[in-house]
Amino acid sequence: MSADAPLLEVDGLKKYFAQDRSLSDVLLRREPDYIQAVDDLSFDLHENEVKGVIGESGCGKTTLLMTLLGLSEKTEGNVRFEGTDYAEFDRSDWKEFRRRVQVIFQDPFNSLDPKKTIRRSLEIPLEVHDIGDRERRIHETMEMVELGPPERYLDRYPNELSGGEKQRVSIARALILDPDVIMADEPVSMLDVSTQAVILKLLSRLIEEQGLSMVYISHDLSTVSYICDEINVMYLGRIVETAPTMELLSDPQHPYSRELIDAIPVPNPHADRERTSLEGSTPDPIGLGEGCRFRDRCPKRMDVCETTPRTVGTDHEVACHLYYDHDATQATGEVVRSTPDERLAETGSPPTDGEGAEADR
Amino acid sequence: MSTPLLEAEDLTIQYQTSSGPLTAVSNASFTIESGEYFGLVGESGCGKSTIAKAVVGGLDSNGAITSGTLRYKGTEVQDYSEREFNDEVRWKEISLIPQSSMNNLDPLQRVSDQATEIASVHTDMGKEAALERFQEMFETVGLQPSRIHDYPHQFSGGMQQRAIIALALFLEPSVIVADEPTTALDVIMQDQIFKYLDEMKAELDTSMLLITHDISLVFESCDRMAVMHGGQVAETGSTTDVYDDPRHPYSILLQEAFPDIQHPERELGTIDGTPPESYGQVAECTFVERCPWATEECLEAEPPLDSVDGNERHRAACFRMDEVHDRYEVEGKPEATGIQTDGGAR
Repeated sequence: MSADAPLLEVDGLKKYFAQDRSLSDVLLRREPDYIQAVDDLSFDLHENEVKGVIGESGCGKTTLLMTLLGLSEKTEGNVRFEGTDYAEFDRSDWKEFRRRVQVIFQDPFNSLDPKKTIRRSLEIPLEVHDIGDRERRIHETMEMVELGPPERYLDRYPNELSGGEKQRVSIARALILDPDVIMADEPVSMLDVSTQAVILKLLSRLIEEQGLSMVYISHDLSTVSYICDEINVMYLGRIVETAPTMELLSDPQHPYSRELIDAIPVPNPHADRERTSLEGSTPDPIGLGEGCRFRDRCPKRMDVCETTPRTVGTDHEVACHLYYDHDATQATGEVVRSTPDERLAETGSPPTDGEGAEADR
Repeated sequence: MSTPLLEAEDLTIQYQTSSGPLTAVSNASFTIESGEYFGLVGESGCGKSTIAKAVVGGLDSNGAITSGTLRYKGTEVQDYSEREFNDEVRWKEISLIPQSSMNNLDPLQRVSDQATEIASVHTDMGKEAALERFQEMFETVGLQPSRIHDYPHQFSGGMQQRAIIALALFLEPSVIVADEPTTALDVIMQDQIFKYLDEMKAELDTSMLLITHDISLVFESCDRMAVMHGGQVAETGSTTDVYDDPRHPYSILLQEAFPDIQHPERELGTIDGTPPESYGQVAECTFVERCPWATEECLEAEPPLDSVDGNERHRAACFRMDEVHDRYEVEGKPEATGIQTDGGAR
């Protein structure tokens, strides 16, 4: 495999869940409504890369993770690991995949078996994958996650550990099989802030030392910046913007990303942050149809937003009509990027509230 | 100065457990003036929710105020009988926005019925008047007034939270106790809720006791604050005092540990260890095991909440508060990790 080929590749992924139908719906053969949890999403992960997926609850980020882990069947599209589609995996491929791709869950309080000692929790994956030299591996991994001396912890049960210690055990359990990819689902959101920083630092160090790749899912942009190289902002099943972390934070382009960043409280009583201007809440992802998913709440909504925007840009991708030249795109077939100012001048439809598209906060 | 609206003085609250009396709050003091938003911030287990429960007279049955006082408009809260407290204080004077309020509306009752019930128990307002008033409250929190007759499941999480806030505002209380009011919500929704809380403060002159783990919410939305650790008030003062000139090691380190989206490149601070559980009388600083500046002195007694540089409104409970801040500015956080205690604390 060439160095440039992605480790994980997602192409046009869709994951729909059928809603429950009532008996009369079934008898009348009415089509069920579908929850469009993940809708036409593309994404890839290269070696030694840490990618964040950020979004509010219900945006489909956990569904995406479950599909990437092969725990949930996709509806449409392709998911490939080292070039092989999950659909083509046989039993031994899956087993190998399960060794190389590990997961850290959100809730360290419930993701460890309360009836197993820490040693046992770490031993089981080694047994399943028939890996020897277990005691040494367990000790090494415990040291790696800074739970030392290991003897102090190995014979304890999860309820005897603090939240931070439990999350370290979860990380140790993910690392013990020497994986290539870690999927982390909000690994610090249940922890106190003093512990959060410790775990984030530990994760970044391990990523570097162990040469890991990671998909990091979170709703919290302020912690993600400490670990991810690149952030994908997700809204209602789609990625609306992808950019290197610092660039996204300093220059968010999609109106939703901007609102998301602007709503984060600033820990400084002298700061004069304005409260959000958004009203209402994210709709349910049911029967969404065509168009930009954010259009009904977007302060910069235009008529063209009724059609689904293309994703433009190379290093900083954004799926918003403000950012490309529609006429040029149609003429050449290639997506031509433009700035919001040009775009607005050309369509003659200013943002609804008369505010400049690049209005500073 | 006039009588403060809510005042805790050397408040100690203990829970009777099989391992002895667990001291959740130890000699805590703070005051909330009328029209003021006061933030109580700390990590899980620091005693902040216990204080919230004590203020609304809702401590668990094994918990009690064992010493000190908690006064509402000059009257001790524990002097009220349950009946008096219900008749005179709850909802009308002090109302509560509980944690995870999604579970705090009765799923089998229309929201309007819950409001009229509160009105009939606590006031002599007629049903019509109550409904009219509740509709106004719905409007205040940005919900459609016509939706007061909906059942809770017809609302989204954020709307339920606003319905709860509408209930909390309903009888125009003097103080609202908000226990992690937005923790379960997404940031945009959180910001919307705080926008209403800001407006409410401007319009209604209500005070709020905001209990949260999120120091940025307190810095942004409150006038004054207290930082708690292990049942003790570590520091209290105006938000600007605590931000500009933190004196307790815990307030210093907590601020450093907090991510700031406007400075994503800043290194996050860490605090080693976890807060202790204390049994019986607390006779030391509960931060001693985690404090990089701790000395033997910190084990000898509970540090008093003393004024900082003669500012009576800014107080910190640290024997070394005068030197810690200066040393931190110059030397940064020392490598040391506090001193081990031998008993009491785990």
